[in-house]
Amino acid sequence: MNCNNWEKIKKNVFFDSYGMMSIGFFLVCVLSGIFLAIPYDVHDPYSSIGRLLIANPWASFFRNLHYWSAQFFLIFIILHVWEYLGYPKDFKVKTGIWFRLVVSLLFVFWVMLSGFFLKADADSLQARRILETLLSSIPIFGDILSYSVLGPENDLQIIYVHHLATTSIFIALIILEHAHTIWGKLKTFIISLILISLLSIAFQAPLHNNLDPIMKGPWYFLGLQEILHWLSHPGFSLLLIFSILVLIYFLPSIKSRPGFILKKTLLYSFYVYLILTLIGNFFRGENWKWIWPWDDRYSIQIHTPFNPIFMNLYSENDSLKLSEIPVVLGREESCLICHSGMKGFSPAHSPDAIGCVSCHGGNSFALNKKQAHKNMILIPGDNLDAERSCGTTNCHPDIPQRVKSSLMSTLSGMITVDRYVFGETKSLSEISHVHDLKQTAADNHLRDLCASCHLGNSKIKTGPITQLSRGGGCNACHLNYSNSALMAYKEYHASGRKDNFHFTSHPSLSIKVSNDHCFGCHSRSGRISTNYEGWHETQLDEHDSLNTPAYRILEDHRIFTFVEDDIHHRKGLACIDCHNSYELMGDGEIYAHKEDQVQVACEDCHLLEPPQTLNPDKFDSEAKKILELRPVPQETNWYLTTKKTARPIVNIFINKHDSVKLFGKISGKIHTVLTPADVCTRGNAHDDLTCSACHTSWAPRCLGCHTDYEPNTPGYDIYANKFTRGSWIEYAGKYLAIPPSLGVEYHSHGEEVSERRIKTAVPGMILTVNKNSYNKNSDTDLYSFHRLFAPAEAHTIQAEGRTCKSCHNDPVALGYGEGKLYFDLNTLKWSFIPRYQLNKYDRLPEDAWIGFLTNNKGVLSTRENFRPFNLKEQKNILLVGVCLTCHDENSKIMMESLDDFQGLIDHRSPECKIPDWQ
Amino acid sequence: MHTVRKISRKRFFIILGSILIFPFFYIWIASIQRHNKIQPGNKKLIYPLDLSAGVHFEDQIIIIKEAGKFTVLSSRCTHLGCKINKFENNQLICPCHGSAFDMEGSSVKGPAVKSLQKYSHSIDSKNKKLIVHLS
Repeated sequence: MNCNNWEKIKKNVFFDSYGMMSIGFFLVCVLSGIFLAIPYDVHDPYSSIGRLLIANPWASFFRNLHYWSAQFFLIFIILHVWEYLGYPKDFKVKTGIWFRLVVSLLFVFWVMLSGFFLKADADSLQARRILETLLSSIPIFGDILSYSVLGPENDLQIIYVHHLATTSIFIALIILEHAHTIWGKLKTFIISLILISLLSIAFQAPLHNNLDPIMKGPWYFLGLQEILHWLSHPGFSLLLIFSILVLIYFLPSIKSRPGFILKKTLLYSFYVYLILTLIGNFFRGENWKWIWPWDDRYSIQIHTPFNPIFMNLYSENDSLKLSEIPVVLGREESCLICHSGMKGFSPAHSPDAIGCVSCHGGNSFALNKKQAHKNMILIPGDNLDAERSCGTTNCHPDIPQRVKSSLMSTLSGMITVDRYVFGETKSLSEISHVHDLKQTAADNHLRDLCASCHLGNSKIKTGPITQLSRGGGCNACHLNYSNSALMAYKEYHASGRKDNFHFTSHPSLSIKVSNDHCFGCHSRSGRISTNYEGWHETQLDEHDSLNTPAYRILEDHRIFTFVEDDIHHRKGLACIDCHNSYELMGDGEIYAHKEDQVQVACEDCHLLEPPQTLNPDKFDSEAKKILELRPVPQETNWYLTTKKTARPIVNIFINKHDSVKLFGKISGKIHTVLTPADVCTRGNAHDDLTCSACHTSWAPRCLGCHTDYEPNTPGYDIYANKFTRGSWIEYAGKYLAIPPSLGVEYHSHGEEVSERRIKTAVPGMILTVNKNSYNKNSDTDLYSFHRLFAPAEAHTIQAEGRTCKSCHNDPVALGYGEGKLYFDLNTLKWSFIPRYQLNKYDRLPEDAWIGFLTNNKGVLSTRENFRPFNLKEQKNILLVGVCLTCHDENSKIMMESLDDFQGLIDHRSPECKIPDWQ
Repeated sequence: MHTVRKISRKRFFIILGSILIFPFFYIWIASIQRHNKIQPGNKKLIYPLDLSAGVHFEDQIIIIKEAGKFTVLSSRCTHLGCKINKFENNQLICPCHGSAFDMEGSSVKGPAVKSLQKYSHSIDSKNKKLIVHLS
């Protein structure tokens, strides 16, 4: 582009000199300010602006006019100063005038900043505090200057006077002295007025909703905010500003080369400042943390300054009672003008208490539907936006972060074990996160089959939580539809989702988390939800004849058959009666596997030792809040705590008769908590057993599963929610509901085992993977086989424990799989005939964990600290098994064996046989 | 012999004006100091004693109640005075520049380096009130 063209463009865009254009904008600003002063109330500033934004589009127009003309005034003043510095010497003004002009720059920024303060929103109040601190840091008279300029903290009177009088008069005088006119040119004024008017119709001057945690100063000080972020002693920034003013003052009188260098320095500093301003605007999110545009939270944390909110002059809501705009938490809430009379909320979430914007975002300063619903969160509470809805400062600020680092959000264990099986990680204790899934064989395996069950999976459809729901952040547990809310929801959909449908019933958010909320995800994998209710998955389909109560069809069309439900379920206990908030929402720590995050244990309530208790006065805030919301209906001052973390169990207490009681959080019933039977604690033979090792009646397991990648099969990535070409397909073998196997969890220091716990185990990852089926370049198959069992609480507890024989003489309990395990009294040998055929890869029966009377080799479990019984342990168990082949397990001698088994063996009669292990 | 040094009228008034700055500067400072002195000013803040355990962000102060014990901190960030209004990962966070403080008010993450001001408080057991002394 040649110079002439540029000059032509410049002439059209800049229709006058920078100086005269800034006068034009100044006049528009002053005039609009006079009209803005009418609706503006300095004693109730925030509300007065809120009211005019909602119901007075004309006053809002003047506010926009005032705002935009001020911004352009500032921009053109800066351009004008820069232009002046480049003038030849003949055009220079006198030193005295130049001095006053340079000083007036301070007044220009002060008039801008005082205007920013006068809107009295969250941004303004913080900016005002910053200026107060900066001015107070000036030695000797800093405090006096600060008070003279800003006045008392909660009063805008002095700032208003400075904005209207001090600064405006000073600037007008300077313009008059410098430009010899205050009116400028009529043409310039008119064009400025038209341009700013057009801008004011399309773009609204900002007003913080006092909920958004992002705090930013005015755009021209975002560069300074960035600089201040790096300064531990921010008072130095005043020196920087003072130095720039001194430099500008002396620059016209510094000749030739030094002047040129200083000017270039100033120019490059300006460019740097411009970059810092852009960083402040576009890359700084909550708590001034850096945020990239590709971050999931970018769109909700960073708002572009040019977000058009068109002026709505002809409001369709003129008939509404605009003089009675509801005020919630000190904020005018326009939403409640249209959405009035909504019912169904829990008291804490009622619109009277928190309004609509607290959860749903949007624009509470607009009556026009489009404007009001802009950036609205239709379904708040997803992990993605929880900090902006449920987790705002005045609501539940510390919870979203905890939830995001909890296992139900990270899926750490599932991902790590999957990657291990595929050879993509070497450690089973690695911490993984579902958000870090990539496009590898292992991760695509999860994307195709498992990765929808995490709390970060956004709830994209309104409606209640069902068996098909996945994720949903806070809603996954806390969203409840009452009958009327469900009815309204159905009517809305039946109406074809009409725009003018008037909802009167809203779903509630409460701590009443019924089992249905857990069911969707936990009816899969370990299937603890279905197990708990006694249902076991079958391979039947809906076409089979299933019209008996013994079968249940889930919403995902899987067919379950009834086996036996958990005793706690039979008694009416819900999941949340045992599992507390710090387990379910996490405690802020990041765990690799589920048993690390679980805090409650059977022994916490079924006491083996004197109880560990806590008075509600000593409760943490969360426990206290829950207790306030759901008080137990009996008088008590002592609640039990978990042994693992010493956190209170807010529904289990000791009543005045010293009896341990459980208050059903959902049922509202009081249950007596029983102590363990004598046999549980007799002797020390079973000290290492967990309660569930004996009391788990059955656990689901499957046989002969394998997965293949089928490159031409259309798939669906359930993590990213998109269709794919090629998919991992899982082929199930057979489903069984039998008592679990037992394994050993151990904690060791060096080579010494410090703690040993016998736990239940089920097949965790018994999988044949054809790795090369994923690798399109390979023609040969490369099968990898893993036989990893996982420690698992099946949630099928019965009051009566399993029999002695069901462990000591049972091949499944020992890990050999189903089959015939017998002791030959002639040969004194144990033998085992497996029921299922041997696997071609490891030559073990399909359902086995370990080989019969063999020592364990290699990794056999999904945990680094969990293993099957070693040979010595198998022999010890089977030694008791030999006794049980002759002696009834309730016989006196077997009971005595609990006290001193070795003593009995040492003094056994000649008829007693013990195995010959050779 | 003394010579009388003449100065122009303009220069005289410039000197006079410059001298006058000092008494007016003094009067300015004195007037504000006196103004502040005669303000009624509420030096005490009163809250119910049964505040739930946890962190409470009030206008000027942050009240932390843990295990029945109170800690009262200034809500002004020691970096630039912004109102601290966020509690995350057991830290009090300033929204303006991201400074973080622990529950005792000590700085744990910059740019702030100084600890938050701690206010003394007393407990009125009879009326079940927490009284925070701002002065």
